[in-house]
Amino acid sequence: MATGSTSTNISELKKIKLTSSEGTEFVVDKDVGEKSILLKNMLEDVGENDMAIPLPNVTGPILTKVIEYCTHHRDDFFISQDDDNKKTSDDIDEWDSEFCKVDQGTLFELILAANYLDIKPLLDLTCKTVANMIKGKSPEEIRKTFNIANDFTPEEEIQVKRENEWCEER
Amino acid sequence: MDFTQILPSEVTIDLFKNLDAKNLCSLSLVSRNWNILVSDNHLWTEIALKRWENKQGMKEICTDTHSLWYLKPGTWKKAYILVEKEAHRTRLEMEDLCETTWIFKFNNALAFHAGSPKFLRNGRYIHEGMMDGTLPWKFTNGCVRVSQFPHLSPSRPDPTDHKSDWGLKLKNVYVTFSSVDHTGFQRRLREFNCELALELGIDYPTEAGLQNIT
Repeated sequence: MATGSTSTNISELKKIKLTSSEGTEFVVDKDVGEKSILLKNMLEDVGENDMAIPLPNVTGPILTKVIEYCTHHRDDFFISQDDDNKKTSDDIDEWDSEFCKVDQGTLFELILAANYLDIKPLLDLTCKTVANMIKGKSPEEIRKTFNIANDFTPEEEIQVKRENEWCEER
Repeated sequence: MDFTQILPSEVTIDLFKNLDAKNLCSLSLVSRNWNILVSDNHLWTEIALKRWENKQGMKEICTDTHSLWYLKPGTWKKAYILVEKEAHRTRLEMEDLCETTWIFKFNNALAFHAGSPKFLRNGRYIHEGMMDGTLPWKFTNGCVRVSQFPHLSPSRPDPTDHKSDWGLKLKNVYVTFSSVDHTGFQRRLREFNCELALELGIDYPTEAGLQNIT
C-alpha cells in the first residue's frame, strides 16, 4: 500500500521496537518499520504500545540489512507497480544493486525476510538479483553457481531434454 | 546453495517470472526439483496468455479455460512449447490453405486487396470479385501453385519478434496472399488435448468427464 508518509511529520517520527530471533532489540522509526506491511498491520491492530515486536524468523544481521533498506527508501512511494513493467530485471538502481552485493546465504535470507515481513519492493529486488544470476546460464553453470547436484538418471535427463527442446532457429 | 530448497515454492516461482520462456525451459534440466518448480502450470498460464495475446489464430485458445491442462503438472509449459514450434512452421498443410481466410494483393498495386480467394479441398481455386469459374491448385515442393502462375512460397514473420502476429503469407513476384486467421494452432492443440485426455483417461471433449475428475 502506498502511504504518503514523510519523515518531517512529527507524529510519524515515533519509534517502534523489534526483536530479532536472537533476542536483540532494534529501535526504528515508525515510518521505516511500516515499510513492512506485516508490521504496519500489526501496529494498526495493536494500537499505541511500547512492547517490542518479536520477529522469530529474522536474525539480527538480516534485520539490520532490512532496516538499512527501509531507511534508504523511507520516502519512496511503494506503489503497487503495473504488472506490465515490473518484470524487467535490468532496471535495478545503483544503491539497490550495491545493497544486494552480499553472499548467497544472506541474499536468500533477505528474500525470506522480505517475504515474511511483506516488503514487496525488497522482495522484488532480491528476486530480480537472483534471477540475474540465472539469466543466460546453461543448466551446468547454474548447478555450479548454486552448488546443486544433478539428480536425474541418464534416462530421465534425455527425456527432460527432449521435452524442453526449443524450436530450432530458422 | 540451492535456494529452491530454502524458499517457499511460491516465492521461487515468482522469482522465475523474471526470466523468459526459453531460459525457463533450460532450467528444467538443472535437477528434479527445479524441473518440478519450473513446470508449474500457473507460472506458464501467465507466460502463455501474455505471449499469445493478439496473435493470429490464438483468440479462442486464449479465452478457453483449458481446465484439462491443470490436471497434469507441466502441461501449460508443454502447450507453450508446442505453440512456439507451430509458430515456426512454414511447411504448409491442406488445412492451412483451405481453412484460412486470405487477403489477396498485387505486389505493385496501391489497392489494399482484391476479391476473396479460396483454395478448395477438391483442388480448385476460386476468386470471387476477380474471376469467374475455377482454376486448379496444387502443392509442389512445399510451395503452392495456382494453374500456370508462378509458385507461391509460404512464409511467416519471425516469431521471435514480439510484435509479429504469426500470420501466414503466400507470395510470388506478382501477388501476395496474407492470412486473416488460420487454424494451425487449434489443430495442434486439438491433437495435444486428445493425447492428454487419453493419458488421463478422460473422454475428450466431453466436459462431464472432466468434472468427474476435478
